[in-house]
Amino acid sequence: MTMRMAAVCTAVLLFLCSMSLSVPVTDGVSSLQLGMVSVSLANPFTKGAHGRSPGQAEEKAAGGFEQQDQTAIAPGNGTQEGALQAPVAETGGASLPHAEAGFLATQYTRMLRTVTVMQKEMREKLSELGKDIAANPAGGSFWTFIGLSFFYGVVHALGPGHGKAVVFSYFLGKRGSIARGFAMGHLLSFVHAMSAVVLVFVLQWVLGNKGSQGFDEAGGVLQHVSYGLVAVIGLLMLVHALYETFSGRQAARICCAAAPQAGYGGIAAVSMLAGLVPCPGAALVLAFAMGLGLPWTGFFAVLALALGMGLTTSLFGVLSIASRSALVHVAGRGPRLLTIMYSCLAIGGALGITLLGTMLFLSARC
Amino acid sequence: MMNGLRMQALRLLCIACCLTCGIGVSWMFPDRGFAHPHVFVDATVDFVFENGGLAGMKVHWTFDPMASSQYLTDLDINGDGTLTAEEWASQRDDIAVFLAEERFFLHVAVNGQSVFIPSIRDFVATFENGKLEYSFFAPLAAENGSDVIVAVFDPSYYTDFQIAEESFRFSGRSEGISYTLDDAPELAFYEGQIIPLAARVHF
Repeated sequence: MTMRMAAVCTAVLLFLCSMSLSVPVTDGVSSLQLGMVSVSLANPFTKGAHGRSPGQAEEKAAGGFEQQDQTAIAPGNGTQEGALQAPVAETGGASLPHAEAGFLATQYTRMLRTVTVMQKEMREKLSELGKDIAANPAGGSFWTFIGLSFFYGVVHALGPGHGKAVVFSYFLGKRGSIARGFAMGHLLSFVHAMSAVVLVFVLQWVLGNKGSQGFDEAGGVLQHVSYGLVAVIGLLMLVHALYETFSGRQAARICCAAAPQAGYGGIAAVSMLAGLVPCPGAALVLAFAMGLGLPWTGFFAVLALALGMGLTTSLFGVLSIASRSALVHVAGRGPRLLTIMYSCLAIGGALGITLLGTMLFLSARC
Repeated sequence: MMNGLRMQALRLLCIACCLTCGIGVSWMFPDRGFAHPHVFVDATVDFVFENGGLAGMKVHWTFDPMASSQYLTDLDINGDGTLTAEEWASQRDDIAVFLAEERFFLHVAVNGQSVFIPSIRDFVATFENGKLEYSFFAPLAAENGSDVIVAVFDPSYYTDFQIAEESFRFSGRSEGISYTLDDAPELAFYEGQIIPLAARVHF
């Protein structure tokens, strides 16, 4: 009997972990190989621009080439004097790299291609509207701009990232409600966007730094802090879930009532920490509007954008809440089975958040 | 009471361990930057043939208007809202060095062998009608009878390069080229979740 129970426990745990980490739509992180992919900082296009001193650039470049020696697939006897001098590309002896396409990657990619085309069109429309508002402030473009920002947010959050996996895992672990799902999705997106707003305002108004380098650097640090804290909070949840399970408190509670609902305090903590990473999309919209001399329009557009992203993220929370209650329903009403179910869900959800935070933390660099 | 205190201590210990390990290990891992596309680039690749073989690729990127205006603030040294040839010339080489670290986002294979493009030339940036455009020539020598695969993508997915059938062109030769553009699962990136389109060219 105990053996069977242990087997069921393990199976459910594995199912949950793989679900929260491998289903591509939940987030951009799937497998445990995360962080092993190629080196890339944000915005490579103007990295060598005047914002960086020449000495720094050289140092950085030298480091980069060193890295390439180790990681590039076929560096050959690469000429390394400068990117503009060597005349011809070199063929190394290595064969074509063979990456493993993930499960459902084809479908996800197709969906993503449609989504990115939509995003690109929206961005183009937004910049046209922005110029309209600048030219004719009394015109009706303002509301279209705000409305379109909202839809841009909805679509933007469909891409990988934006904490959907965190919300998903959280509500697998804890019993939620639709209100709680929406609260978490919206709070996370709001903090995600506001973090970018604060960063852009501070950089531009306080420090007078309009370039994208400052944002990328500060964003990198915040990203690191945020993921680290998410990992820590996941670990706390995990310890708590394990304690409840093995101390028998979970079992004791089941006799009298259902699992407690997720507290709003916990929801607020997790979503604020996970949302701390500034959203570069929001920053671009705001910086663009500020460039046109319309900081307030930019600010309201970012609010609308956050609302849109919140809607998408919330839907993932609600999806998770629904799948959790379906699982519990299937498990039946026996107090014993329910106890196991609740414990497994709590442990699985906490484990999911811990792993997500840890992997993102490990793969990001200050 | 004792039990509660011990739990508390255990928790603190766990956090301390986690933080220490995390900080230690994080130094050894490469950066991934932000996820999900935030910049959209329309890319075209023009295969240039000379003396019967492939000489290289003329690559052209057009940034979306928002990214364009953001990047203009990086490039526009005197802040007058335009990008002059002099301004560009003073930063071009540095920018090329950083782009080389990203392999110029060109993932190329000739006859099944991965090819590394170490350098580019004729690197020009312009900013007109609110759009920033980069163009450069990436040398790539391949004899007749070669199979060339080219995919344009950013493995960190910060940038989405938009590619269509007509994004690939051919100049200097009009016959004996077969070209298809389709999914290349073997080049899947971003944890194997995103499959790029790759041009498969035989000449």
